[in-house]
Amino acid sequence: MDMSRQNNQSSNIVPSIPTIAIFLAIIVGGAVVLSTFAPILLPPQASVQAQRTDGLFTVLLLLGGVVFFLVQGLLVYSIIRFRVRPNDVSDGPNIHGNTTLEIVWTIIPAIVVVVLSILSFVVWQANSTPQDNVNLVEGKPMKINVVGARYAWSFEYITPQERPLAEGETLTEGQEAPRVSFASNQLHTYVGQHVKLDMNTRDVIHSFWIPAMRLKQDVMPGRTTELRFDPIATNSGFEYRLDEEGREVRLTPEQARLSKEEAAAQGLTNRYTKYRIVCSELCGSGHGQMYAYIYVHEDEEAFLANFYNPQVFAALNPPDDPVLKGEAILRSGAYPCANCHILNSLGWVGVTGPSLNGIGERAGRRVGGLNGIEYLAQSIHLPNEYLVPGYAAGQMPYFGYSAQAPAGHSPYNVMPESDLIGIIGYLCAQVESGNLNDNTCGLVFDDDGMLADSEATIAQIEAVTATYRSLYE
Amino acid sequence: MQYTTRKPLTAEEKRERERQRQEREAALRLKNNKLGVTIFQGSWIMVFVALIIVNWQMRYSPEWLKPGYSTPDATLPSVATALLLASAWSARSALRAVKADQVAQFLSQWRTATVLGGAFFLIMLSQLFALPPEAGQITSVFRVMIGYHAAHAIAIAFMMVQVMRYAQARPKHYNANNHWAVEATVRLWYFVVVAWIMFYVVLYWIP
Amino acid sequence: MATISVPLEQLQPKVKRPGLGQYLRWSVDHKIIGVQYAVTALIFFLIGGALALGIRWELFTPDLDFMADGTAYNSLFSIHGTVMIFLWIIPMFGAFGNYLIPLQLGAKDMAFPWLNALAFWLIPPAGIFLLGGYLVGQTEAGWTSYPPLSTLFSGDGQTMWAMSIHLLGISSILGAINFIVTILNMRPEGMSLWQMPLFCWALLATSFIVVMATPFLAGALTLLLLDRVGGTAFFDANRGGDVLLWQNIFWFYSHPAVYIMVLPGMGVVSEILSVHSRKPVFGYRMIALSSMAIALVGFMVWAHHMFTSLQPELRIPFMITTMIIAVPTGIKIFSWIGTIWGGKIRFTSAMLFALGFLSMFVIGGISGVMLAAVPFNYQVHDTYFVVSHFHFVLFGGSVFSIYAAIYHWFPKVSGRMLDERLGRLHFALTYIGFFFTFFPMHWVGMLGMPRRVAVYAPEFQSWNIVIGIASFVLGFSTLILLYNMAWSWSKGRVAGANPWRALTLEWATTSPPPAWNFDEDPVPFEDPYGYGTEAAQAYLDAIDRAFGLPDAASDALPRTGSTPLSPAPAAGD
Repeated sequence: MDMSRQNNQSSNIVPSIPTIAIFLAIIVGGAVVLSTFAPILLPPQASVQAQRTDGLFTVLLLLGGVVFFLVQGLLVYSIIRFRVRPNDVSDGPNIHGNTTLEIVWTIIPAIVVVVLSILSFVVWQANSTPQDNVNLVEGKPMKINVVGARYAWSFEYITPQERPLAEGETLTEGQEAPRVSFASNQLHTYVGQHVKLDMNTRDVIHSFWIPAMRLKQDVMPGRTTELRFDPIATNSGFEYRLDEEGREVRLTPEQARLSKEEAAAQGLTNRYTKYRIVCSELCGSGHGQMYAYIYVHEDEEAFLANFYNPQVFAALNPPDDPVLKGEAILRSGAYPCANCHILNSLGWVGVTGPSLNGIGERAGRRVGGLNGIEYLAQSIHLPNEYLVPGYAAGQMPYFGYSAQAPAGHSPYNVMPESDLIGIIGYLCAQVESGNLNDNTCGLVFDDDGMLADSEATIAQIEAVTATYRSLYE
Repeated sequence: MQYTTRKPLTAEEKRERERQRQEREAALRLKNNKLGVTIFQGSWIMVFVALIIVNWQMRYSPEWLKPGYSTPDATLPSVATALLLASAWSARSALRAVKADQVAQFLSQWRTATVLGGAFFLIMLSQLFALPPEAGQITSVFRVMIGYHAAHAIAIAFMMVQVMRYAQARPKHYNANNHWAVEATVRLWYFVVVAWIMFYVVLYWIP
Repeated sequence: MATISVPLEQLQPKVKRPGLGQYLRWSVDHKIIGVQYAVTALIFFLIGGALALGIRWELFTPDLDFMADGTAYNSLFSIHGTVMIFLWIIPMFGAFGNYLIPLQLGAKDMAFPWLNALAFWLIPPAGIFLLGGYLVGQTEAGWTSYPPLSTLFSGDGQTMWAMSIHLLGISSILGAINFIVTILNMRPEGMSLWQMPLFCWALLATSFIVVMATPFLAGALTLLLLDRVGGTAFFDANRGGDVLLWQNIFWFYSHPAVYIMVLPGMGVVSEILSVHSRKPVFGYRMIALSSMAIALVGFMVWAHHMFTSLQPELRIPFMITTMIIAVPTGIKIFSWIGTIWGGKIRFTSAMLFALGFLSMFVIGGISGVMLAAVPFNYQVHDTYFVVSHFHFVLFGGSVFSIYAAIYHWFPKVSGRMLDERLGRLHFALTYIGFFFTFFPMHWVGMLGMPRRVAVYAPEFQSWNIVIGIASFVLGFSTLILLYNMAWSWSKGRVAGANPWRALTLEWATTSPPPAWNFDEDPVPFEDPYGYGTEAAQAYLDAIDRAFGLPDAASDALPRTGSTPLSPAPAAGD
């Protein structure tokens, strides 16, 4: 063993200054180039919070890039430079460590993580500082409740507007006047609004995530969590608008990017953009289908005209006809039916539960001894009593009249009897033959497709739904 | 420096080595057993710590203790705790006795320890029903903790009974040179005591 | 003048390999148990891998089309995760720990051989229990099994899942007690803690985590079982329970469990980098101490898995503790580079996988620091970014190191070398397949694809196709390893006692070692990684003289050839 040769080698293992300089330049250059990719690695930047988070991400990417290129660079360098040469059977130099070096590579990462912690803290604090004046509409605050349920999001808007008292409703002393409220399966906001969401779940844990806003918060049974964000306009502008008939029109990228005034000059009013809201906590078989959209309107005016005012009007003027009322309820998304069932007339495409197309014709033939109304009422109150072949028990939640759930009916959802009457009426009217009178509920329709006698129909359905009241006392 | 290898051993040397080896291995076994039991205790006490954390977090539940119910009375458990401590004390004396080869004294003290342990166990079983299920979350937590402790207590009490039976059948079975089974049982019984004291404080004295 | 305890100029006799029957029975020989662990774990690795390919097959399209329904898909990844963690990585490192610790310490067996066998034999029933869930309605709540999904909904397989994990937890506690006692009590004369192989250090740190953390899992599972079958409501908020209770206790075990899965791999890599680059480990003490530091700090970071559910005011403290972990991890990475720096790197398959570990694990480390930053975590929590991160740690880290360990120690276990050409092919396919399976997931996750979904937004499909194809390459690469092992077991070149000329004690006996491991108490070399000294050369030459040389045509390390030596006898069956 030639020891002198080994000693030569151990002095050879320190690279020359130019090599080190080139190496460092490559690392820093690589990291800088990498960090410029930050914008394309993330979805559109649609909130103030997203801007701050992305700033932090760029720093993380830069420092991560330095570590990445440093370690991989050292590895590649070592592999090439220190590979064993043919016929060399000697060992490497007997070096056990270098205290200075070890201190350096302990201290530098320590400093880096301290910096990152401080930076993250600053961004976190800025993002989670509560804004005053949240959810303003026409200068007054609204309350927005988010409800997660397997497998849909629904949004309940409690507006600042008072609503007239219902028949038989009285106010006790000091009680605030009831407000107009409505539910939807869409979350609407506008640029400049400070949004605050109070979030709950009906069953399991869900996680409310808007990738474009960079925000995520779990909704948990037994707790109310909140989420705040401030939507902004992105570089891609507003990609949709509603036309005069209320249909969604997709704009060209150029139209989307026009300023408000330019767009208005071209008649492109009522613009908005929308982003996906995703459930990101495993919640069961339909987890992947559990999403909704957030609509960001160009300004408050568009928000009022295209969402808020029509909804308030509908809430104040419910139809008497139970079929129409049921349609309005189901269309609003107040109940999470759409993500599990197929129903062409409302555009539902869920696959976790049985299809509801033509359910009005089948309802009365499903279970011996139950007519259509009775079957539908049972399917909603006690969904596990009869299971459509191929579908498992426990997937469909229980719906009942009050929070006082019957034993064994958990998790549990409240559905007032008046809603249930409308929903049964609407489902009875789902026929595929084209003749509404083919329904097996015994509902009678005119030739023009309207109920022959709304009040009689309500009484007919109520006779069935009333039998369930005792369950919830 | 040069490395050389050893010459083959003679038969004589081999026998002597074998004897030394067996002695060393016996000592090592005992050392291993002691360390093993200690680590097991350190590990398994964590289950009890976990249950105390459960207790602590569940106290924040809105349905921890429903109105009209109160936390269980501490009198009986305090008696049980005294019995358990007395049991552990006499188990300790018994271990000292057997180490000093005082076999008769060992047996009598061991019997006392076992009987006291049995009494403790019976009181604990009664405590399982100290709260009705309607009292709220406290009942589940309470029963899980008492039940978990009782399950461990009965397993180790069973070891005590076994030691007692061996000692009764063959009076010289345990002696100054052979008492690892006794020592292991005593160590595990201490473990039951420590776990119980923790639970006793949490369950009965922290309102 | 030091001596090593082998008869002078007298070749050791041929060693018989244990027969198949011995592997199928209860045995208290740590080497038999080690192989039992390894084979069982490899079988479960194949099962878990098949499940993973099922997941990828489903994800080729954005709709649910391969699996019957969402529940079936959910069982797929729930069982995949559980199998890979509890029945592959943890038992596989149990295999190496069992086989190697007594040998590296020059001991005859573990401290508690019977307990050791018991720990192993708890695993097969637990595995059958877990998979048996398919007969009664498999769990669909993921390996994390968050209630109330796991208590009020998931099928009865969830109950079996919990019982299975309970058994596996007991098994790993028994194993860990054994490791700790063996390491602390049974080191040979002349080996202080600071002269112990780093693999033993890693297992010591790991076992410390196992004994302290696993009981928490036992506690959590008890509550879960009671909620499912005992009528309690610990996790049912409608009856006053608390869903965060599970998350806290579960992660108090399961975060340290990540280090249970990766610290032994770090030990393996420390050994292999040193041996195959013929240079001492750089900063031995720092590597040993950083294992301990990771084990300790690892207990204080659990809630970083809960940044979107935890009370907001607690998030920042857990971010800070999590960031701190990066420091000891960084020390290890730089020390490993220091180890190969200036060495004589030999690109054996074991070394390739160890280098692969370094280059992949560092990516998992970087994404780990990113995940720790709370604001960024909000964006990527529970997305494919996280899936990518933990596969870089657990596949790029743990599995790469397991592969490295297989190539390094297979010769010791079987007496035969693995085929190096197949090994290099295996490495190339694994490295490429792995990188393209998991690296694009970062991007997919940041853009908005949550994890655990069978149905996803169509814009992610192109990346999922790339990932899917790469994953099948990765799956195929595993078969090469299995073929190599099967073929080499009987046909491989004779390995000899010490094919890699390594200094740790497991190489100072025949391959495979006799049932009693060493004919006489071996004398360890004063420095387990003291390569590059004449003393080390003399020590290694003495081993060669006593046990014979590897087959000259094999890929074992070439010898200097100064002394005429005889070839080692082939191990027979």
